[in-house]
Amino acid sequence: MLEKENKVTFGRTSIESRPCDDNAKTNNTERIMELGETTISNPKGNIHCLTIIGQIEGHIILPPQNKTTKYEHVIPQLVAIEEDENIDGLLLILNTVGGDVEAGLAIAEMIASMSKPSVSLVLGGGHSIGVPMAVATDYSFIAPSATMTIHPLRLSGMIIGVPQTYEYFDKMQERVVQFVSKNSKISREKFRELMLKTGELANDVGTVLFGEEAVKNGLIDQLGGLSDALAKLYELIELDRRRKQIFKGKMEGEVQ
Amino acid sequence: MILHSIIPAEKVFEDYLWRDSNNSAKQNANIEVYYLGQRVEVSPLTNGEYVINRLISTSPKAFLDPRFKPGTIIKATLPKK
Repeated sequence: MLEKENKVTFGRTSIESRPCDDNAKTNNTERIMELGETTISNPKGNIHCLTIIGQIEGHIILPPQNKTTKYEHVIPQLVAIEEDENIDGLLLILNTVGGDVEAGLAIAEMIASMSKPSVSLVLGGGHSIGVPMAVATDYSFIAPSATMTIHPLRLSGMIIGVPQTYEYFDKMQERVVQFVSKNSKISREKFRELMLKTGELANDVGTVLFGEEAVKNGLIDQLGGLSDALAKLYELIELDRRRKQIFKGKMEGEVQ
Repeated sequence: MILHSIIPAEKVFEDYLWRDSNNSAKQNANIEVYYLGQRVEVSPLTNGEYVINRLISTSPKAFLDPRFKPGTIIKATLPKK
């Protein structure tokens, strides 16, 4: 019975777990685990953690030397987190070098429009398109040693040397600028200024912000680490629960 | 597609250019399957066995489950027709 449930099919291949003597004695709890439907009972709330690493991969599959986070993995996971009644909050861990603009903005918009509490933590680096993702959550943290590079979109491939090309890129860039200014304390003007700053990067326009500077500029809410991020997330979950209780109480009052 | 990254585009697409000139580039043979209710990335070994490369999940509990440990060998069979 158990072995049948273990069998999973993908395309034409089906994979089953290797028969093991320990599996002979299966109890009910283990069977729930086998199906991936574990209900974890943490009184403070159940959280799920999404890690964004390497390049954000979008419409084009990147060559294998790149470590990537694929949007076709991330987007359904976000939907599942929003839908699952057993999940109370999302912790977003970022260590990314940037990537596809559309995929990055799609993930950021998904996170920003979630109703469940979310907290982000930037470790190592949250560069380029990682910036909108870091600010998309309800509250954001950055490790003191982490950096964020803010720079303009670059041109690659065949470019026609006409003013319209510049305008097109400016428009694309504006999507990032608007999202970041809407979801953090930084102003549109300040973000653009950091993006187009000269003399900071060796061979490019832009700025590298260290953890503390990112907080000072209003991009990120607070300096911190894992325990700070978790504490904040549980705090937001608690607030969310209370809000729901008040709402429920009001509804019941109206009915009576 | 517009890439907004600190890694230069020529570095990101290095292998593409290289493959065009040599025709023998080895493709990374990783495949994704659902195993015990979670999505895992596996690469094939001989005689129908697969080795887990990584677990793709947001559940912190799944990462503590030793059955998803990278390097674990799982058996695969073709479905009966």
